[in-house]
Amino acid sequence: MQKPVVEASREWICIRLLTYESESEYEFMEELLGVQKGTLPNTVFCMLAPDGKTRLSRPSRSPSFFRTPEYLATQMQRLAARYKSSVPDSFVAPIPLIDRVDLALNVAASDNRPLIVAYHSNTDGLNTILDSVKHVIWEREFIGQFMIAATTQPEDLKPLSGKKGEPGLYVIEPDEYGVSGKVTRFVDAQKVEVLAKATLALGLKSFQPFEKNHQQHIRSGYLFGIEWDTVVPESDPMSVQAKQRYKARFNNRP
Amino acid sequence: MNVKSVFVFALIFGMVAGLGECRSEESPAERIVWHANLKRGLALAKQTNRPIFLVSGAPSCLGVPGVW
Repeated sequence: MQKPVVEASREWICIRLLTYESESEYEFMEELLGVQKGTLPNTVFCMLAPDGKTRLSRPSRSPSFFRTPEYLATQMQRLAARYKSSVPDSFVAPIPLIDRVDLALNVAASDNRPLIVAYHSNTDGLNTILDSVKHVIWEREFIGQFMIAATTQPEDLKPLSGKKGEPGLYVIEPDEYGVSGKVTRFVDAQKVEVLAKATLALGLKSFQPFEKNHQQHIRSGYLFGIEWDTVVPESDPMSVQAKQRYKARFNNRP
Repeated sequence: MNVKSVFVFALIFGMVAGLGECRSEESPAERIVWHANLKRGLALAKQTNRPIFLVSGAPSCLGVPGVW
């Protein structure tokens, strides 16, 4: 059922922002949605032309007004056909990086996917790793399967267990909450060009997603004292109220 | 929201695991490639002349991470 939307998405640049993790992106979405300053809801949806300004759909909280995945896919194909790609077929897009490792762990856990972290203590070294793996990331078998982050900061690797600290490419299984992760595969920076594809294939093959129950996940999260602090304070009135009510109920439980 | 529109929303935010057919990771379901940075995503759209499918979500629910 989801396949038509995924196929249609290949002709789009799909951007999934993390609502409360960047002040500038928060402001962009406020303006897009036309809400009062400081009241951005936790989800936003809009289709835009390549200029990033012209709206192809009305901005809303979700694409649910398309009603069905099939109809959404049809509209995506129709709209994408208006624009002719300006790059050759050989063009390889940049790696879709998540800006912070801790955030990438959280997103990977939320999507129930493995995470790749490229690490090198200097920027040139890191860029070499990313250049070496770029073609592999966009191969059909890997496309969209991993969350990806890159860092030059060794402290970003602290939440990880297993081999860490050496420059290279790490394949990580996030824990259920995305606050830590286990390194399952590693490729030394010098060998990324040669070994990345095989390593990612093994990492993907061995990955076991969690079977999550939404309510149980939240209840256990409270029991374990796991809480996520956003960069921008959460401003969705319904979500903020729900959180207050849940916390009060949890704290007053017998 | 009816069941199908809920599914559209779930699809976007990656909440389909466990709801659909079970797949081993040897042949995982195809997925949307998400760019997670606005500036880089907009620049890529402009460079390639591709339209933009923009969504936003918070990877935490009631303050608990690891879920949309």
